[in-house]
Amino acid sequence: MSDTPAKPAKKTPPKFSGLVKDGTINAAPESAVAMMPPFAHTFPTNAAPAAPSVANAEEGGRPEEQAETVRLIPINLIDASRFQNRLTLTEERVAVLADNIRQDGLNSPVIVRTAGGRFELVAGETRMRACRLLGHTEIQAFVREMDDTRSARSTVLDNFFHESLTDYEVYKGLRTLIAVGAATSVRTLADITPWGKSQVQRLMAFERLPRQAIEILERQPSLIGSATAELLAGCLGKGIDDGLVARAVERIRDGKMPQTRAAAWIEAQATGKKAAAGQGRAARAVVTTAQGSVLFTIDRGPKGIKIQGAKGADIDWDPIHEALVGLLKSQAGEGGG
Amino acid sequence: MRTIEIKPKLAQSLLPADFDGFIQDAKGRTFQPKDLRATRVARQGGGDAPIFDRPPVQIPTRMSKGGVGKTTVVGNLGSALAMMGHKVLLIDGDPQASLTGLMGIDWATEELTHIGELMRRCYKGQSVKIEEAVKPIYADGHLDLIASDITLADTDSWMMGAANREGIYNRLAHDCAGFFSRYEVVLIDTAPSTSLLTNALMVSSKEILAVVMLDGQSLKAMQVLASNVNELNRAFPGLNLGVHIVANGYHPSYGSCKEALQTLGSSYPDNLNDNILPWAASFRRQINMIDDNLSGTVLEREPGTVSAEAIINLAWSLVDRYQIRLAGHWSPGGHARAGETIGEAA
Repeated sequence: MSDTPAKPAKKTPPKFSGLVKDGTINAAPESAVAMMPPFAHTFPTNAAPAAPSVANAEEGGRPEEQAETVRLIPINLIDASRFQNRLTLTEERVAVLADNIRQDGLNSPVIVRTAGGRFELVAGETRMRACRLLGHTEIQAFVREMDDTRSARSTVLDNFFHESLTDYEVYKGLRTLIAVGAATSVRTLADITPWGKSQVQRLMAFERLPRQAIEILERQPSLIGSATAELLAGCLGKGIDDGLVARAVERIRDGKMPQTRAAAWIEAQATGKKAAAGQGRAARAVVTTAQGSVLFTIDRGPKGIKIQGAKGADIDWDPIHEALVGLLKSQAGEGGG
Repeated sequence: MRTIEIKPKLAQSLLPADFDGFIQDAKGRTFQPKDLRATRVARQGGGDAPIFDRPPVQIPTRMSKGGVGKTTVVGNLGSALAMMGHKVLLIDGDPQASLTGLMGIDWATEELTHIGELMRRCYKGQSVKIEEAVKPIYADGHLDLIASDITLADTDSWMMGAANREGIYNRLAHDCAGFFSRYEVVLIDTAPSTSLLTNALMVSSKEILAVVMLDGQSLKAMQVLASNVNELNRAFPGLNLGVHIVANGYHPSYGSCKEALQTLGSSYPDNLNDNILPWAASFRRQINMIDDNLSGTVLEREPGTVSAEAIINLAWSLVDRYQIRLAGHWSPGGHARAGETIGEAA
């Protein structure tokens, strides 16, 4: 392979890891995503919020299993859910739904519960905001009597099954389920949510992140995924202090490194090997012509420097080579080699 | 049996991150899988044992379309994990026997007992003799194979009438626990067809490894896979079979590859492994028609290539995801390495 000595400079190897997570690959259009089949891990039959059984119906069942009437409720009497785990509801999403509602009407009523003379939203934040956007003052709703546990469960689980949430938002939902007593362990969380035990465990790694990191995630929930959270939490377990982990999250936020490099960066910082991680992504300098087109790119890595001529550029390499050799020779002379 | 000699540079990438600097001490030496295992076991403490007290991680590889790289993934992951020091069992569950061929076993001339026959013996209550079916590929039990041949295709005929037929492979693994406990991970190659045998192999894990070639046809085939998986989940409440996706055949300058990857990434953000396998000639050189000695996995033949690097990265991520142990130990993210290698000055 490398038996010919006079080979031209090696090309930078193309990247095959982290393409999706670091955004090299953009999101696909929704029309394409809509074509892909869902993998259903959990079916309603074995999820805890069970479908109404015959026996229940005969006994009269719980209130929501009886025939329920839809009421029209003034939107300004509805408060947001206290258990909402979703942090990112884009205007775009609301606008798309509003469009649909304008054409077809509201197909499924929102769910609210009564709270001190007003109503609290249980499920349907997007629908409510879309109706508000359309200038509606009233919205169709099921009014249910629910305690905190049931209300939190409905809000969080509704999101889990219908929304594409970021990992951090999912984690917030899981935490809420535990806080209100709807689940007590990783196992029960796995039973009632679409995630398996190991994924739940991975998601719960956010719990161990330092406060500063959580504050950042509250504003940018999509910043890191559960895999990264798990790696960061793992670092904490290895005796690395909170500050370093928080700094790693800050660097990701500031665009200084992709999340996939966080653990390596921390490790390098902790062991003092800055060179490898800090400059791994290489300081790159670019030399351009007077007209501004790129002539050379100079990449600096941990082990060397690579100079590359732009494709198609007419470069006379001989004097450059000569000058470089001269420079290196004089360096070697100074070093006493 | 293949002779595996791992050079220091490859060994470094096969070791966890806390072995940084290993390459300097190892100049000029070569290693066998057992050497790297011994090195890791010495570092992590707790010793080693010929039989582990927990069953191996089972990873069935699956796609409802042929030619997507299932065999390549299984073969190369097997190579990588074995070279990293793990004890690996490969099971060829495809009558096409490509994995058997990739491992250098000539199914046309060699006497072999395939997984379908072992399952049949187990189901009929006969003596299974699973040890005799094993073909050693790397020394010291690091990579063993249960090979296949065309007669594996007959398996469905007797499974048709079997009770709890989807559970027969799991029953084999249970009944032969002593044998399976010699391994830390079992990688299973399956046929593209949705058959009883394939279903039985799929339910050995909580999560199948779906290999998807980055083209429209493979994405379409996901429909078949999804209905297969969803049917199994519907039929067996509590199974909760998940899917982990490995994308194969990525080329940075093919627009269609990028689009397919976008679709996968956006549709299955939690299921897609972000270590993509490249479209590379190395995978196409694994079988040499003229000289068998020149055949072998990419990791054996061309360890310095981007393909080999991608395979190693994938292997590490699966060690994390499936919690593949080494002598009883596992810790998340043990492999995270500092720095990326970039081209050095010529």
